[in-house]
Amino acid sequence: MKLRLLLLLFLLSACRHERKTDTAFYYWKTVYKANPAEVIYRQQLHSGKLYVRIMDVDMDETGTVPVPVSPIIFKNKLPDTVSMVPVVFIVNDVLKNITKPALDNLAKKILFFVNGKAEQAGKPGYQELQIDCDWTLTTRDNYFYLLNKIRSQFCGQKRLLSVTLRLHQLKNQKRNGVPPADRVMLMCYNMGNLRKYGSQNSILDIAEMKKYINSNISEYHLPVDIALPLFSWAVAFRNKKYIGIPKQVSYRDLADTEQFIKQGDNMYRAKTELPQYGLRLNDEVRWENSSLPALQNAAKYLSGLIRSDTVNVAYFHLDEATIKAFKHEDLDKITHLFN
Amino acid sequence: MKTWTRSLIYLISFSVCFFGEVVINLACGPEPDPYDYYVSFFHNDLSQSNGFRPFTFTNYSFLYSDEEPVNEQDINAAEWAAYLGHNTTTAHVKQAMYKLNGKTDTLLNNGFLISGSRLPDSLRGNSFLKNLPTNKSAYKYYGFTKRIEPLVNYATDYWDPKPIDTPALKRSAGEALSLAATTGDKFTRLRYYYQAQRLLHYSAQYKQAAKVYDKHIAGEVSGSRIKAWALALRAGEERRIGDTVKAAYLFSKVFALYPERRVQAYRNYRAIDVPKAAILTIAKTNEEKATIYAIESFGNPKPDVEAIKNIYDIQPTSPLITTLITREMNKQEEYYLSRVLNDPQTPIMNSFYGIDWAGSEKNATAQVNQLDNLCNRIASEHKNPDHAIGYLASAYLAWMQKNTSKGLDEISLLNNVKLTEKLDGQKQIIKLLLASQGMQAKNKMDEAVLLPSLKWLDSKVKAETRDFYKKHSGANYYYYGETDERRFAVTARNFYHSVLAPMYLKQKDTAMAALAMVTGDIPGNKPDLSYETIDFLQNFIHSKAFVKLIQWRTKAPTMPYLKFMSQKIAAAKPAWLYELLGTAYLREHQYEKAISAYSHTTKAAINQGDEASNPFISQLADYPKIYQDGSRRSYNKLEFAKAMAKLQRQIAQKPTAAVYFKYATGLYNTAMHGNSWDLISYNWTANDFGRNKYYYDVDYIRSANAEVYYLKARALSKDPEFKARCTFMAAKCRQKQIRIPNYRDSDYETADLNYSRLVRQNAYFKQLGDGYKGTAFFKRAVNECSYLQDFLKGRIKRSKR
Repeated sequence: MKLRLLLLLFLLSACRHERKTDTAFYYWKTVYKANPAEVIYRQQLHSGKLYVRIMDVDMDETGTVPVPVSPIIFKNKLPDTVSMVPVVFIVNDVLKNITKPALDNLAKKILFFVNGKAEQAGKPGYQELQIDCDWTLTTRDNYFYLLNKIRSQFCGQKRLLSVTLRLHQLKNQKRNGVPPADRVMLMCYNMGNLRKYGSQNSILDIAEMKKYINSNISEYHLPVDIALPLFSWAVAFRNKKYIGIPKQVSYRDLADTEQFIKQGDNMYRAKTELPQYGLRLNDEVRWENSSLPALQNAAKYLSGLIRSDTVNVAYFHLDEATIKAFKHEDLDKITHLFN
Repeated sequence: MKTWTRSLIYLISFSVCFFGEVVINLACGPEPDPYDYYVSFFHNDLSQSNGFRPFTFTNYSFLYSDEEPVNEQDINAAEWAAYLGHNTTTAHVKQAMYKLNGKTDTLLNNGFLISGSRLPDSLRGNSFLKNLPTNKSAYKYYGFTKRIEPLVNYATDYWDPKPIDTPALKRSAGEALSLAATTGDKFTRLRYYYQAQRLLHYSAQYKQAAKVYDKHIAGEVSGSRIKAWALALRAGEERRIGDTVKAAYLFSKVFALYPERRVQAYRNYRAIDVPKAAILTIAKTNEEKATIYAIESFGNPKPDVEAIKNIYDIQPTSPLITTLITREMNKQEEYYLSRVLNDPQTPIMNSFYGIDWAGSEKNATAQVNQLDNLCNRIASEHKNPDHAIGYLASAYLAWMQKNTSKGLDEISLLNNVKLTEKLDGQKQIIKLLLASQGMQAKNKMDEAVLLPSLKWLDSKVKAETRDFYKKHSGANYYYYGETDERRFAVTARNFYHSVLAPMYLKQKDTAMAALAMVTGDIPGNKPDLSYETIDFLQNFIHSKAFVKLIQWRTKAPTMPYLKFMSQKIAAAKPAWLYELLGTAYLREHQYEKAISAYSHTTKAAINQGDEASNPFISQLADYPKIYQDGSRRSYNKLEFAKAMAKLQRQIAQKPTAAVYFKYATGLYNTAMHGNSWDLISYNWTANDFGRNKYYYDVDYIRSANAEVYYLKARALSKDPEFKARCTFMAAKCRQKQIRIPNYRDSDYETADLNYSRLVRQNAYFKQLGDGYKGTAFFKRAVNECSYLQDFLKGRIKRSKR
């Protein structure tokens, strides 16, 4: 029996072609400015693709008209060596009560706006557009309608539409359907319960990830790209209840024994009142990060399940402070785990 | 198409690094009303000036209000109206400058402003535009601003991806400078320079913008508020150039002098975030220093008496003192009073969100005393025009600390002092609180003493309510965000709910406590009750109290106090009160009386809706529930009362095992785990498990009476199958008496393990195993109930050891 299994594995591995992988990054800031450290890092990784957030689309203050929110400002043009994938995040609420004519109009406006921004970025001929939305059952139909509209106006030869896919959307494929796009970007982060007290890591937890992925990814009807996290954050609790993410707390702050007492691997307790972080005496903080071993495990696990011939491995996100925590060789190895 | 309104918004957004103080994202969930989240009796609008309203205390919003105390558009319009003369009205200036719709704006730009052709129809009566051509400088300036506004308002069309047109901004700035240099008109010259500075500022030419201010605006002798707005820009430029201390200092000047830019200046000051000491070193006068202390304190949510001391020492007449004392008083209400009023045993629902910064009791008292000392000093020295607030604050702090005699002494010092209407209102409130506290100490109500004060408060609430609904016609009962406009209504509610009702409860007079709850509710535009009052009436009141309430409702009492207190209950619908009474009888097992109460109510009030069900179904497992589906028999409250009354009569005359079983099942099913919980409860939540708060929890949570009757049924029966069923049902009742731990418990995991152990050690499981093992029912029960299975498995393990 064992021998037969080994033979089968050998045959399977012998049949498998090497997959083509590309290292990419998300750029999720509201101002694009060439940063030498980020450029060098990208070059070292031979990363030629940047998923650039163009804007969020949300309802205006009257709650009736979709408008761009915090659109990106390009202080510099993107380098010639980089291909840009504009990303538009659509707030789910926008799609809740909206008519078909309004969706037609929205599709046109999104493309007009993205084209304008792409021009400013020096990338008028961008080849791929990505739409990001945490769609649910109630908004699915409107969302898919909008995607179809965008696709019919944007896609043609060599131009493709990709969409993000959250883990819950992957898991409940039957209910959520498959979006009308050319590729999906599976967002492999923010999977645990952020608000639950405890020492878990809600950013990247392989056990949690497995609950959603399994064979769902192999059977998915579209080619799958993978987005992996690089970020970290502190999650604050008061009396064991979630109170928020104090953005100004860094890992270094937590190591300051004048301010915090370490309670466990990733749990810390405020030793004093810390109004500069919005924390009070005895508030607890859980440090969550995207560790190298966790990223490697995730990559190994996903690699065995994905069937696509080409995979874009996009890291979230390109920011000097964030990428500092990872050697470029290490990220390179993670990408190559998908080969 | 463009309006100046947007330019204001963008001006602000340009120079402000928003929300420097945001460090934490609030979690989701029910949000507190930022204007009403702690018990407050100290009104926050006691200051004679409204100029610092945005800086009133609230811990749930960055500012109390985002609106500038004075409207900049009004100021600008007034300046233009005065300048143009010829009966130009400010309303028309505002219309032409800020309120034109896109179409009219285009017509104006392409016609009137280019060729001087006639005005669009909708503007033909506009006095500003009519008079404009008579003043060539004004006409030219207006045309210029219309041309440059699209550059400044680059994003009025949200879907236009164009970035800022910096070269055009710079060109226009140059044009403004040359127009300023050539015009002979002082009024428009200053404005051209301002526009030049503004355009350079927006094109990020901060040094050049600052130069324009320094050279052409700073020294200009003019009463125009353009100088203020230019100073605000100059402060922002200083920040960009790099002198953040000077920038903060300039913003503090804007804050002090120009209420139309106060909020903007405050936000900029805080966003710059430089040490206070550094800014103080360049402040020239005590007044400037006082402003810096105040801005710093306005951003401090913690007790901060030191700031007031610092200000008072250098500028005792400062108008900031009243606002700052009020802030500190409100903070102590949140931090100290919330703690004093907190009674974990009270049945009155507390919807307030108290925050305890003070830490220890000792620390909290020290903070209150520190504030009290300062207030006494301010009161006795008479240096500040609002010094009377010191006595009021001191008396109120004494009340907070339950020192009634000190409070009365302090307030008596104001006996012959003429106060403003607001301060006098505050004095009456504090007197009412102190009088109540005296009665509380003696545990004896002196209603004749209370009545005049309550009537006074009532008149204030009524007047305020009238004004409120005049302003907000169509507002609902609890209009979120408007409680800051209903200070007396909030005060009355807080007094009745947090002071008077608890006093009656202490005397065990629940009927009067209920009247106090009803009377205290904030009046809406239709009769309605608060969530807290409904909760109190639905859950806490026994039938005796409801009988009294119905009597007072039916016939107005003659005693003046009771008559006053019964005013609101008199408006209640009788059917609603009788339904509450009937349900209280159901909970008290007085079913005959329930039938009588329900005869006064309507079918709609006692029907159970879609989830109507049969309370006499006996199931092995509590779930799934079996609701009415058209074919099944269901009971409304009256039918249930009739069925239970009949069973009670049978029990009294000739009880049988079947009668006892049915009666027990009726009781069991009205529990939260039963099939017909809504016969005795008005709502259901998973959090109710383990509750021990209301008198009917003996049935609703613990099924203790059902257990008694299941045992009686078992005792009268000789059928082993039936006896096994009775024992199993008794086991289910006993299980409900084991408290289910709540995830909020301090050691939830241990408590959960303990619970898990106890439910498997149910005493009736042993009886089932010992006495009824051979019955068919036992086999079914073992299949259905995993706890019983675990019990039996444990037994096997023990026996094997």
